[in-house]
Amino acid sequence: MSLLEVSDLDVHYRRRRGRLHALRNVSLRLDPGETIGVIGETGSGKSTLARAVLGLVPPSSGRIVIDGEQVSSYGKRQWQAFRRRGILQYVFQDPLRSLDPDLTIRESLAEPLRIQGRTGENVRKYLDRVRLSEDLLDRLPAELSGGQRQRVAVARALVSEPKLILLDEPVSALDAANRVKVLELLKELRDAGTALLFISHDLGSVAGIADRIAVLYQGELVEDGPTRQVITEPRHAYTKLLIDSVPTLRKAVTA
Amino acid sequence: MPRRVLGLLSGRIAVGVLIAVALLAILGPLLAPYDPLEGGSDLLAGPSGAHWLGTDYLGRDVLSRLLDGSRVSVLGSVQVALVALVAGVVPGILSVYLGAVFEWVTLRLADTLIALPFLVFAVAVTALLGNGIPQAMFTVGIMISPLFYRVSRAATLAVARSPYVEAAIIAGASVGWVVRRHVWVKVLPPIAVALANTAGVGFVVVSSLTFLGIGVQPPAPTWGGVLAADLGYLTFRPWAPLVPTFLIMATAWACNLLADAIRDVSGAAGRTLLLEKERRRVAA
Amino acid sequence: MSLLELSNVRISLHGEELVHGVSFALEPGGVVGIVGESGSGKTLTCRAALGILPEGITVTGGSIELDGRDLDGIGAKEWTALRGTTISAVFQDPASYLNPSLTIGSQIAEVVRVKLGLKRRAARERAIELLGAVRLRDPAEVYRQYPHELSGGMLQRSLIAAAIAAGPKVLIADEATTALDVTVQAEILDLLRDLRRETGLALVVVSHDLAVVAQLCEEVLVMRAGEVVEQGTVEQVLHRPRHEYTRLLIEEHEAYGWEKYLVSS
Repeated sequence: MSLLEVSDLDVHYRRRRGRLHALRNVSLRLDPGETIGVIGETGSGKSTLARAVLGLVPPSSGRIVIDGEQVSSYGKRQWQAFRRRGILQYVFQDPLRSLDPDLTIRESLAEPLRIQGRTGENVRKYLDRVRLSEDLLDRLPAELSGGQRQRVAVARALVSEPKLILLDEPVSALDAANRVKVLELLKELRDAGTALLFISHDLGSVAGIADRIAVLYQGELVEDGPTRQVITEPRHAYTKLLIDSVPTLRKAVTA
Repeated sequence: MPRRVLGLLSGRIAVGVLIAVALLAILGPLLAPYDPLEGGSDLLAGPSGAHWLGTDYLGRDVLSRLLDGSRVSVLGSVQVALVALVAGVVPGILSVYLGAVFEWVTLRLADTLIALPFLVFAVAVTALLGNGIPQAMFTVGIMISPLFYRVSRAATLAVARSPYVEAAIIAGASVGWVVRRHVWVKVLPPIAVALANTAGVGFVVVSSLTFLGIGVQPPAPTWGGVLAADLGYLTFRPWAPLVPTFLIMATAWACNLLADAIRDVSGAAGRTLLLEKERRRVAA
Repeated sequence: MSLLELSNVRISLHGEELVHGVSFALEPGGVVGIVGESGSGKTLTCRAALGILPEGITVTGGSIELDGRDLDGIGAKEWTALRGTTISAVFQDPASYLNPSLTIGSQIAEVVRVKLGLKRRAARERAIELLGAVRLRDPAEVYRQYPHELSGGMLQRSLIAAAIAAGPKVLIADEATTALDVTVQAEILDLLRDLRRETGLALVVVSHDLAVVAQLCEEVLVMRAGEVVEQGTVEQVLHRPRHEYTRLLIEEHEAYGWEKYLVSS
């Protein structure tokens, strides 16, 4: 059984004149432990896809099934109950704003557990897992660097032991050293069996850890296949353009 | 929070003054040396051994009137603040969360209240609910509540769309959780400041209503009432308004000081301060 | 003779040195790349060459020579005369460099009128010509549009048009493609390459992404914390990196990027 199954998903926003189709007929499957990279540029609908899977945007039509539950038909209460199972977590792009500036790292980490009614005492080990010192537990986000904060955000996503983590441009705002650290971490998670849905505008940064690549273009899924195949034999013209556009060191030297 | 406020010198001073004001409100009527309503033959007398603050135009002892009036004044002010707080802050925060209809209705209500002429409204309410101090204070509180509504709504809106609130929602948090855990701390400081401003306004408004015979009936003393009476006889006792003015100002000033202290210690800045202290204590 | 030559340039803020000696020489039609993260000093170096260092920050050592002229101690008037006509620049967030309430065309025409002294009509024609030169599809239409009507890529093209309006010899592109989509970034990089070929424009390309710089440049400087940690031809830097930081940048691409798929294909 798939962990995440999106079928024929349509999302449109009402505008003053007519409708804006953010997503059109998108179907996507993700098996347990699998990592998929969803690539899309500005206006591709990638953020809408993430928000729809998270239940923050209602689908106009189509189905979303997560871990056997058809969440696309859920109301507010059912969503809340589903979310408290802790199956699904999210890591945001902007590490500066994704932690409450008034809460200590300990409190931020414990929050998902406390929402579930658990004590949230045992968050220490998750800092270890993202290779941060336990000394940071009683600090405030403002005392941490951007890279540390993003690793705390990853740790917060881990405390409920989710089966699926959505990542929205998790390394775009970081410098090279921290990008490598966070990517390393994500690779470990993948190897430990957590499914990742990695959303990015940059094919280059996703290719290294994704089993499969899906390409969104103007709200439609134009390509979906194993990473190697998508990169070496892209079928859609847009994917080809995308691949030609990514700056690589190799191209630079052979050009 | 209280511990952190008291950690600041300004917080300690503010709390000290406010405790003194509270004691005055509780014990004032008992301490009054004369009957505050009993007139004497000595009109508009200067300070003397018998009358420390002199007498007013009916020969009543000013000190007794101020002491006796402090309970009504302070209670009235507190009531104004509480009514404004409940009527403004609660719908202000909820307007962000309870959907478009509630939002629209409360926004229009706030606009309407701002547009209503204050005195006409006060007269209408006393006609409806009867004349008395609670009714008058209730009216004033309602009239001020749009300020609290706006302030708390703006602060809530700023927090509501932030990623950490979305992260909490994705973890299954309810509206109540989000408000308690994330919103409240950010809304509190601006509300505290608004509240402090309101407390000062409360004293003055009570006295202006007294002129119209609304709320406190003229013979009964209040700080504002004594001030108003003193202003009428400036030529005879030019220094007299200073004493009630000082009481009102000191209270309002202490409220503002407290609000500033609350703002300084709440939020990340205040916590850093405290965490630093604790760390140093642990290290020592 | 070099067009732009920096020798051992040091930049300080109130006695605290932020950039510890940068040297490079840009030949006519040449391209020099600077790689580094925010805080590495790459942007300060560029700003020094443009005479637009922030308040309190000054060049405290070395020399900058532009088109055979030492820039040490020249006045504000001379800087204004140099900027646009000899050296020019484009930056990261194009929208913030345009006035949202004026049309794109009027803002470019203004540059042309001030810098080249053209009359209104001639300036308009020249502006449309420039918008065409940066390969905007319908230059006359873009001329009449406001910034909010254009995409990020189109705005950056417009700014490049404004930057080259007065025929500068050197163009500094400081993170000029960072905020853009990958496909748009490729187009802008192509445009810069073509401008260089067609007009002999010399480029200084600044980016946090080694691959972007490597694609366009012959010589690369890798900066970190105000220090040039690596300098040489692209070949040297990519194949024989000497500094640990350069190796990290390369490793990032090879281990987490998709270079590994390209190797096997």
